[in-house]
Amino acid sequence: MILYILRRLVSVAVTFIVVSLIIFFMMHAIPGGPFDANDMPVSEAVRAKLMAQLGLDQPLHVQYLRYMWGVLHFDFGVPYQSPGETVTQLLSRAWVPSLVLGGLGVIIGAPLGILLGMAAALNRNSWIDYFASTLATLGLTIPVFVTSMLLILVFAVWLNWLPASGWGKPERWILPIVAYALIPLATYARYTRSAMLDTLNRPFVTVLRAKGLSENRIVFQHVLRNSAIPLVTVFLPMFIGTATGSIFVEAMFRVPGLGAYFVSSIEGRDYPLEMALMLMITFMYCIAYLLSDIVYALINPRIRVGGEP
Amino acid sequence: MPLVDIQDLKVSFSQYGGEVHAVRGVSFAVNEGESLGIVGESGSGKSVSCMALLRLLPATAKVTGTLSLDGTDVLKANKEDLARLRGRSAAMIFQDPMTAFDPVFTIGHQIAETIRAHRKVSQREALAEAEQLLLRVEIKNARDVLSYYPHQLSGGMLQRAMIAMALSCRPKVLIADEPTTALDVTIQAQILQLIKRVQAEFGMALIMITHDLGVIAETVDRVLVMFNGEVMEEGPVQQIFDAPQHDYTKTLLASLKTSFTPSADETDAAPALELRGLTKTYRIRRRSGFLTSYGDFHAVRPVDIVLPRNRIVGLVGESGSGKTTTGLMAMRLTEPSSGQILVDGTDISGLGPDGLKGFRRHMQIVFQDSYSALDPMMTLAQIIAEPLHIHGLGTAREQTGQALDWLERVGLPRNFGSRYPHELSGGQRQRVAIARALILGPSVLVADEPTSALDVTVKAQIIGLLKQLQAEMGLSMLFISHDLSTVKSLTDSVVVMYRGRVVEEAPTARIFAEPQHPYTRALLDAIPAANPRDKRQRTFLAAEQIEAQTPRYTVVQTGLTPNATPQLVTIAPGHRVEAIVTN
Repeated sequence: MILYILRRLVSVAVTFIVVSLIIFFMMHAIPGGPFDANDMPVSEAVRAKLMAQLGLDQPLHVQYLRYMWGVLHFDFGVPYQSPGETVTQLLSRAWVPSLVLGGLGVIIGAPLGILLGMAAALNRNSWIDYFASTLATLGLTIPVFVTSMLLILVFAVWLNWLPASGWGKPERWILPIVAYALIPLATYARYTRSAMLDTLNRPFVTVLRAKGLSENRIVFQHVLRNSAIPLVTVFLPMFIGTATGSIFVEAMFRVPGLGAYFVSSIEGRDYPLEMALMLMITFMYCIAYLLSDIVYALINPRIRVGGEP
Repeated sequence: MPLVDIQDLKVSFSQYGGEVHAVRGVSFAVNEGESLGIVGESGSGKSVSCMALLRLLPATAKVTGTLSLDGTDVLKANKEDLARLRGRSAAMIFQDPMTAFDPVFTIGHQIAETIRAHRKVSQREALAEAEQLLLRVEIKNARDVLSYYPHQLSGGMLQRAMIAMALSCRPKVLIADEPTTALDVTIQAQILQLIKRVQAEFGMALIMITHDLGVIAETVDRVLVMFNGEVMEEGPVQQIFDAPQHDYTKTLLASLKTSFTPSADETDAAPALELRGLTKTYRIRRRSGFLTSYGDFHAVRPVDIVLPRNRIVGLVGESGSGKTTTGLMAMRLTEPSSGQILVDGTDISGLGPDGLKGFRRHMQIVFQDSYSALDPMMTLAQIIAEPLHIHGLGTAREQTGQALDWLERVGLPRNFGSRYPHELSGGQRQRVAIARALILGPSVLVADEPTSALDVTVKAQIIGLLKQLQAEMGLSMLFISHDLSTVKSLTDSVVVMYRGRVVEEAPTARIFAEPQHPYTRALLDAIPAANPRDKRQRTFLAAEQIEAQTPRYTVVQTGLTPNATPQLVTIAPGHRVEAIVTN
C-alpha cells in the first residue's frame, strides 16, 4: 500500500509538470501582453524597461524555468494587477470566502444528496423517488447563475428575509451556500440512487435476506458500503471544483472570492497570477484523485487484497 | 404436520405489458428429513415458488395461497417471524456462488454475521463456529479461508462456504436453487455429494431445484415436475424415471438418452482444419515496489488438433483448460503466440487482414451467449444477411431473400425477419446465430458451448439442428463443451484438454468405453447418473493425484524416446493419450 502511494506520488509529480508546461505555453500563446498600448498608454522605452524588469524579454523556456524554480520555493511572483502584494498574499486573502462558502456548500449538499439518493433508491417509484429525480435533474440542468438569481429574487427581494449579497456577516453567507450546495446535492442524489439500485439488484442482497438479516443491517452495512465504492471517486474532485470558487456564484452574490481573479488574470495577461491559480487547481485535483484512489482501494478488497492496485 | 406445506400457490408479477403469471396454483409438502426435487425449465416457476416460501420475491410480485413453513404462516409472518424463518427454519443456497457473497466482507465475517443474526454470541465465538463449519464442508485450510474475501476463492470453494453459511443456524430444510449449474462437471459431482452428506449429518429436509434430471437422480427421494407454473407430475424418483406419466416428463427423460449416428464416410481429402503446435501465452506483470517483473502464463501449451473433413470433433475440459482459447485461435479471433493454423491445407496464421478476409468465408463460429452475440439494434434478417453484405455477395434484395430462406432452414418462420433479438427465446436466438454462421457456406464451424445456456429440451433441438445441418452441408465442426452427455450424442471423436494441454484424444465411443488418462476418467466419472438406480459414491482426485496417475508406457510399446515429462502416445488407431515413456 505504501509503495502504491509512493508510485502514485511520482505520477502526480509527472502530471503536475506536464500540466504546468501546457498551461504556461498556452498562456503565452494568447496574443497580446500585459502592457499593450491600448490598455496602458506608455512609451516604447518604458514598456521595454518594464518587460525587462519582469523578465518577459527572455525566451519562453527561460521564463518557464525561472517561474517553476520560484514555485519550488513557494514564490509565485507578484501580480501585475496588484503590485503591492505577492501572489501568495493575494490568494490567501481571496481564497477565504471561496473556501468557506464552497466548502460549506459541499459539506451541507453532499450528505443531503446521499440521504436523498438513498431514500429514493429504497422507495423506488414512490413520491420521494420522483421528487429526488426531479430535484437532481433540475439541479444539474439549470445553470447556477439562474438558481442564484432565483434565490436572490425570492429570499432577498420578495420575502426580504436575507441580504442579497456581500461578504462578512454570516447571514450574508446563507444564499451563496445554498446556491453552491445545490450542485453536490443534485449530483450526489443521482449517483447514490443509481449506485444503490445497482447494488440492491445484485444477487448477494437476496442471499443476505435469505440469511435472516434485518433490512436495516442489509442497507446500512452491506448495500451502502458497496454503493460507496463508485461514490468516493466523485467526492473529492467535486469538493475541489466547488472550493476553488465559482465565477458565477461569486459574481451573482458579489463575494470577493477567487472566482473573479480567474477572469481578470486572463484578461489582463497577468501571467504570475494566472499561472499560480492554474497550478493550485492542478495540484489540488492531483491530490484529490490520489486521495480518492487510496480511499477506493481501502474500501474495495478486490483492489486491496490480492489484486494489483 | 409437514415442515413445508404449500397450498394453491399463485404468483404473478405486474409488468408494463400487464400481469405475468409465474406460478399458477402449485401445492406440495415436504416432511422433516425428506428430500424433494423440483425439476423444470427456466420460467417454469420452480425458483419463484421457493423464493415465495421465504418471502424473497420483489415487491412487484403478487402472492396468494397458503404457505406454511415450520408451523408458521409465511404470508402473515411479521418481522421477527421472518428473521426466524429465514436462516433458521429454512436456509438457501444459490446458483452462482461468485455473486452470492458480498464482495467487500470476508467469508468469516459473512458466516459469523449469519450466526449472530440468530443467536446471541460474541464475534469470537461466531468465528470459531464458522471455522468448524468450514471444516465440515471439507475446506481444509478453514482458518485461512475465514479471512479471505470472496474474489480470492474459486467457484467450488465458494459454494462450499455458501453451504457452510447455510448450515450455520441448523436449518430444518435446505433449499438448493440450481447449486451446481455454474460449476464444472467434476466440481458439480463433489458439491452434490457434499450436500447429500450434510443433509444426512444434520438431519435436514432438502429441496433441490434444478433443470438437470441427472442432479435429481443423484440427490432426491421424491420429484415434482413443473412446467409453465404448474405441477405436471409428482412421485417417487424411481417411478418418475421408470414410468413417467406426463408427456412433458417423457420429453425431459428423452433428452437424457443419447442417440448417436456417426457422420458420413470420411473422404481421403486433407483435413478441413489442422492446428499445429498452437500456443497462447499471456504476459503477466508482477510488481514489487518500483520494479516490475514479467512472468508467462501458459493458457494453451502446444496443442495439435486435426479436424477431418465432414466430422464433428468435441473439445472438452473444465473452465480454464484452454478449450475456448483454442477455438478462438483456430478462428484467429485471438492471436496465437506460436503455431500454425491450416485451413484446407493453407496456413492462415501469418495472413494479414486482407488475406484473412477471404478465409473467413470458410470458417465461422457460434458462441455460447446468443443474447450478447446478436446486435440488439438489428432485425433478424439484417443480422443473418450481414456476412453476405460484408463479403459483397449479391444484391441487397438477394441477401435478404437468402437470409429469409435461412430462417426457414433453422426452423423459424420467414416473417421473423423483421423482428429483433430481444423478442426471441434463447433457443430461437441460437438458431439465428447458427443461420448467420452458415449463410456463407463455410467448411469449418467452431461451436463454443452453443447449448450451455439452454434448457434441456431446447438443447436437444439445437443439437438435432446442428447435426442435421452438418450432414446436409458436409460441415467440419469443432464442438467445444464441458457437457459430456451432449458430446457423446453429437461428436465423432473427442479431444480432452486439461490445464492448457491435450491429455487424451480418441473416437467418441472409445473414449467413453476405455478412458486412459486419469483426468478423462475423473471427468467421465463425474457425469451425473441418468437413473437413480445408477447413483453411487464417488472418490475425487486432487490435481496432484491426477499428475501422479499419468499413464506409463515403455519404449518397446511405443517406439518413442523415454522422457520424464509426459508426451502424447498413440495407443490405438486415433487414440492418443498423454503418458510418460520409460525404458
